[in-house]
Amino acid sequence: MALLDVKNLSIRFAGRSAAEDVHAVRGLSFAVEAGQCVAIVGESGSGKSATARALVGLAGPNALVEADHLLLGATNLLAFGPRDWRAVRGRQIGFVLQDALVSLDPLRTIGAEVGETLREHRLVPRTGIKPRVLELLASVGIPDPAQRHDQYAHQLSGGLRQRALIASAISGEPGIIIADEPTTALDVIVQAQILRLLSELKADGRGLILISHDLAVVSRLADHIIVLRHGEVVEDGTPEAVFQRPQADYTKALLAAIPSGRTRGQSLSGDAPRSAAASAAKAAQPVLVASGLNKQFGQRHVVNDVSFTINKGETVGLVGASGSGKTTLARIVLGLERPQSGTITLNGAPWSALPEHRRRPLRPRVQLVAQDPLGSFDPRHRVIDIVGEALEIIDFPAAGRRAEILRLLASVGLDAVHLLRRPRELSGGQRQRVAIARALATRPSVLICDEPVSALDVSTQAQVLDLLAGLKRDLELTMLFVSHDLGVIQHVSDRVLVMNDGRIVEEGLPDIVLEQPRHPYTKALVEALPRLPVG
Amino acid sequence: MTSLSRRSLLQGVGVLLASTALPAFSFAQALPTGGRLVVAADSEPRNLNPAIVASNGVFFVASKVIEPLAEADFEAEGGLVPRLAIAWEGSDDGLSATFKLRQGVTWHDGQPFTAADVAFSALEVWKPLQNLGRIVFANLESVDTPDDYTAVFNFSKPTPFQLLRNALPVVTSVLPRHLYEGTNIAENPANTQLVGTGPFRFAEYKPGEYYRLARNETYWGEGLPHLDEIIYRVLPDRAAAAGALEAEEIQLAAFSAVPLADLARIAQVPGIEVISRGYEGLTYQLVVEINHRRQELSNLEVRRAIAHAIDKQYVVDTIFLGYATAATGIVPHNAPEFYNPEVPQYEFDIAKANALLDAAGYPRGDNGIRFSLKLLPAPYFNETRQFGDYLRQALAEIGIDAQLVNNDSAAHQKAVYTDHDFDLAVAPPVFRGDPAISTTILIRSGTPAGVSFSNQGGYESAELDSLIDRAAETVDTEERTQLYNELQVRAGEQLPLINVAEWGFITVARDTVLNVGNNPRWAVSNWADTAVQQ
Amino acid sequence: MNRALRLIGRRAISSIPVLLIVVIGTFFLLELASGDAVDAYLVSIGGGDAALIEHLRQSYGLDQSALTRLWIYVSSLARLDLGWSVAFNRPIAGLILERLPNTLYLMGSATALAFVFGTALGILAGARPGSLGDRLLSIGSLALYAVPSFWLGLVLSVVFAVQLRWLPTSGIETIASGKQGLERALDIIRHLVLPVSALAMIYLALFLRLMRAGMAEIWRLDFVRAARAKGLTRARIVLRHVARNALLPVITMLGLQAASMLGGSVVIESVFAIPGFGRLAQEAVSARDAPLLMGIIVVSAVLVIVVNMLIDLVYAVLDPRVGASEAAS
Repeated sequence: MALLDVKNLSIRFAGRSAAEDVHAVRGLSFAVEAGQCVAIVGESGSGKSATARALVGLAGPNALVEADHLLLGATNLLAFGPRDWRAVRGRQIGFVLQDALVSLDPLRTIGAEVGETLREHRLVPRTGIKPRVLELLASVGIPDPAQRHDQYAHQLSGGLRQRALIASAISGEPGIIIADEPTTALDVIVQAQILRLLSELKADGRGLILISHDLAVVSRLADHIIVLRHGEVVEDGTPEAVFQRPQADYTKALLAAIPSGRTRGQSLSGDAPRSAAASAAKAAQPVLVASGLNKQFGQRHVVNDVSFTINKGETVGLVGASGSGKTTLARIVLGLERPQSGTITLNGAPWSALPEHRRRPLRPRVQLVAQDPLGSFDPRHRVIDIVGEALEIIDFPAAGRRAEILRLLASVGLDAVHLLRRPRELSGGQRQRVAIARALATRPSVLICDEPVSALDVSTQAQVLDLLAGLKRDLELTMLFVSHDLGVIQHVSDRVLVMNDGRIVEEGLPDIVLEQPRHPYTKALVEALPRLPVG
Repeated sequence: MTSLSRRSLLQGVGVLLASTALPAFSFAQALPTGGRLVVAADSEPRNLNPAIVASNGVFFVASKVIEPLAEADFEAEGGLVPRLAIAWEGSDDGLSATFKLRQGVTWHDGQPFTAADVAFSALEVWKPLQNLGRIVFANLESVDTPDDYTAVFNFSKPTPFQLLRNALPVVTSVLPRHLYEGTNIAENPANTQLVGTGPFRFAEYKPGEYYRLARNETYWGEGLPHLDEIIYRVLPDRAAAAGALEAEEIQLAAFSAVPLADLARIAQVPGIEVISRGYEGLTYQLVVEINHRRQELSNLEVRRAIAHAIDKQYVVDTIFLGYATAATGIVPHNAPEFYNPEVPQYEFDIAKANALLDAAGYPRGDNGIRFSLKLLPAPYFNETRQFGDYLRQALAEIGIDAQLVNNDSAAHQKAVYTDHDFDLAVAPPVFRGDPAISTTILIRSGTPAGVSFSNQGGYESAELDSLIDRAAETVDTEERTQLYNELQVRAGEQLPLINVAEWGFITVARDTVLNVGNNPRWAVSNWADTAVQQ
Repeated sequence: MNRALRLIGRRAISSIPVLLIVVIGTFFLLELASGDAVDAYLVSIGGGDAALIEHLRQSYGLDQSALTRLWIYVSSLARLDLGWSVAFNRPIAGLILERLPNTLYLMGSATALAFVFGTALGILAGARPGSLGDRLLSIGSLALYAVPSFWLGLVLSVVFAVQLRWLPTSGIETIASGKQGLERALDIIRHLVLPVSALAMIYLALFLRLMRAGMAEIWRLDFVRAARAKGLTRARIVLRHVARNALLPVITMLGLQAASMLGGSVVIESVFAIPGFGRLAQEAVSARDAPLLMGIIVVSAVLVIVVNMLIDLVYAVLDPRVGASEAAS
């Protein structure tokens, strides 16, 4: 018998009237066997998280959960009341949430959080809780469990937090673990470790339901993959079937949209084919030259003797784990942080050494596209204000401003209907397009892209990457592209810098650096990268 | 020095003894003795010494401890009963005044009271330090003490005995010489820890909470006082005073501590009485002060028009809820010795006021406004502020646009009396028994800027000034009274200021408190005969 | 503990310029107000002649320039001498020491009451956002919050003191009662019931609303979902996770409110005739007694700073994240 058997599940969120009801999921069926992993993959709004929550009775007060049957072993979950659910949660179904920092109570120690299920369900005697928690922490690979036991979430790294969450989820020895995007916020290397931990759980005979937006992530773990789109199942099968012989166009597009070295020079979204224009063909013309940059925060050497050059029309990828110093480096290049030693020149003139009052008039030459445009826009400004402000800075004649804004929006694939929208009224992809339009408004010499697609769904990411590629070709954009995603870096970069512990440990052409890494860190990074089992 | 005859002095004594002391004595026998009286106080004066600060707030507490030479009375001849003086007489030339003092009086610290105390108080305190004494005793040169119980005041210029007599209750609080002599009088600790000869001794002061006065066992008045204790409980909020009275936490609230608007209701509460008697000697006048520097207001017809625009009866009925009298002139009805009803009246007549203004050359503009004025109502009383609102409306009726400026006390004082930054102001001066220490300062020109409650409106009339100056030196009572009569008529004609109403305060008390309001300055008298029914 | 001490030390040093700014600001604000201490005194005594006024200005030191007076004040303050009150003709330090306890009783009990009941009711309301109980409490607290404190004070006084006579109408203790020790303490408590209630109710409403709003926010956070996924009961989630996290901003607000409560007590002290700090400040302003007012403000500022230091300490105990960044560097 399956641990969990779902037949024709439908989740509806009640609106004010039946017409306003939102169907989050319909017609979803699957079964989880012991020692098996079912992966539910989809982009935001696909209904994958609603499914995960419905399985533990947490879909919310407005949710209507219906199914032909929803069986946990032999128990009918559809007939459950709150008390029944409480008995199931933690003991029979463990739940691992996405973001470990916000999924652990910041005011309680790791030990208290992990031991909570034990205490609540009285699974072990009071005095036995601590030893059991230490055991659990050790079992999920947390080093020095006795010390971690008394620490708080903020004192742990992302990977350790995620491990602690998993420890908490398995503390009640549930047969089923639901993991909702368990690795999204993590670096590749840590992600690989967590995936290994999850596969160990699977090997222990637990049933695993893995929720993710990333096909590559689930590819190693899943025995069965379900691709959801707008609540509908579009693909359902074994990994081989899904990856080798995808049936739905959506799945094909999704697979094609994943950036990697192979996709360089190609369109990811499939709507704007482009030729691999030879940017390298031109003579190297340095735009931004950094030499011997150093930055220390207290004892920590965040940027350690970093030198690099970006030539005109070139995209330089900067890759590294979180804490590697790449964000600080980006801030130094932007002129937001002053290096303790070393210099940056821009078009041959001093940049980092300038006092602020002399740098300010030059700031339009270096522009930023950040990860979260929502955070970098004034929520009360409309698109016309956001882009117009950038034009104002370069004293663009007021008379032509509106036309210029429209031209910029057109260049990023937006049009006049978006002019009066506010950030919240735009989709994530549209927001990032506005951010690019704003950055381009000042005709910058260098564009710094700091994780510009990390927060986006795969297909939206593909569109934005295609847009940047097109702009690069048409405008000869010079870019520093910062990302933790090797695939993205490999896709966009003409040259790659690998950063670790504040140093540039490896530099070169992406194919050479990432296909034949020499430095151990780069090797680890490349090995950890989940890859699609595609030929 | 004096032409005082011994006979007339003794006559005075005899009359006074016969008329007042004896009835008070017999009355005392019928009243209950002992007990504590708790009354509301709304302020805590910085300096509690009545010989230095002659104000009602100080007297309210200090008059029970420190006594004047004589006190006001409803029935006694001349309106005065003896306190530390038992007889008084002025010389015909006004250059001296003789006081016979009470014997056998001791200070609260046991020292005997003598004429030396009076001489010291007059020369060292009343004349140089006291806000009113400085006027009354301006010409005091020396005080002779032929014996321990006689004090003869010698003046360099004639000083009307009428003024002296009228001022006795206010300006002659006697201080113990032995505690003050040779010290910095203004900063003497006895200014807050009072030592006097009165029926109560100063027992305790808890700042922000209460003053406690205790019975003086060695008081000279036989069988007096009746009360064991008086407690002044500090209640700055008026609503709190009414509440405390109703809850029987206090037994008496004087000086209209209970707002007029509450009186109708509180009068219905069983056991509570509303008493308006006992303030006849403390009449407040509601006055419109005028800045004559302002061109429009220097025009007599304009001032007359304003006087016609004010409905005095409405003010009395609506603002004072009837607890006031419409004024007829600069001297109030409550001063029968001086009051002259035969003065020009400005009946309420809007049409006439408008006609006067038209004729004066101030026609209404397109917006119906003739000119604008700055109106500063004094903030001391609810009624002065309310009258400010009323006056603004009344002036609007005759096309004068008045801008109200509401200040707090200090700011009002500076704006009106120092900076002259006003066109009209509402003031509540007190009539203190004689025009020379109440009224004339509001009319006489030449007062330097900064002197509060004086003529700071720039009004100058040689005629009125000369009347005031002559009266100040006229010794003959009848002649002096006549001069003031004329001053009232002239002021009525010229309107240096406009008198609107006269009012006394209201006392609200439990009916267990006896002898409330039985003299014209009751709240600031010594309360020796006040008693509480147990 | 080391972390806490460092926090205090830093706060203490940074508060000195704050105090100086407060003092100078107050001085010039009062200087801007029309009329001076002599004007105010003249009104209270019913006027005086020019010579008296001259004499008073001299003896009050008001014949000197504003800057000279400010310098004299600040330099004496630097020697911890609060100076002399012209309005009360007494040393300011004594005046303040006399009044401060009453206000501290009033504010302390009102704050404690408001905080305890406010957060408790806030937890009740926030335990089930949108429930009937929540809605009733929210409406009730809004109504309470909208009521001016003096009006509430008067109503309480009329009902409980004048009509029912359960409690005294005003004052801090029974006048001249001669009570001592425990008896006196009980007497003071009896007198404080009404003013403390009046003052507390409004802040209670504030804390209630803040707690409720904070909880509503916490409910949406992932760790609450995680707690539910562990199978915790609602009560356990509310107390262990939601309320505890929502309490932190309320505690910050508690510190901020210390200052505004000083202001609120002015009104209550006047209505209930409690000789406290607020009333003293009011008297200082109306008497234009600049040194007294500055003394009051300096002491109040110190009080607020101390309260906020305590709040910071409490916060550091409750929130393990506080000071973590320093520890790292």
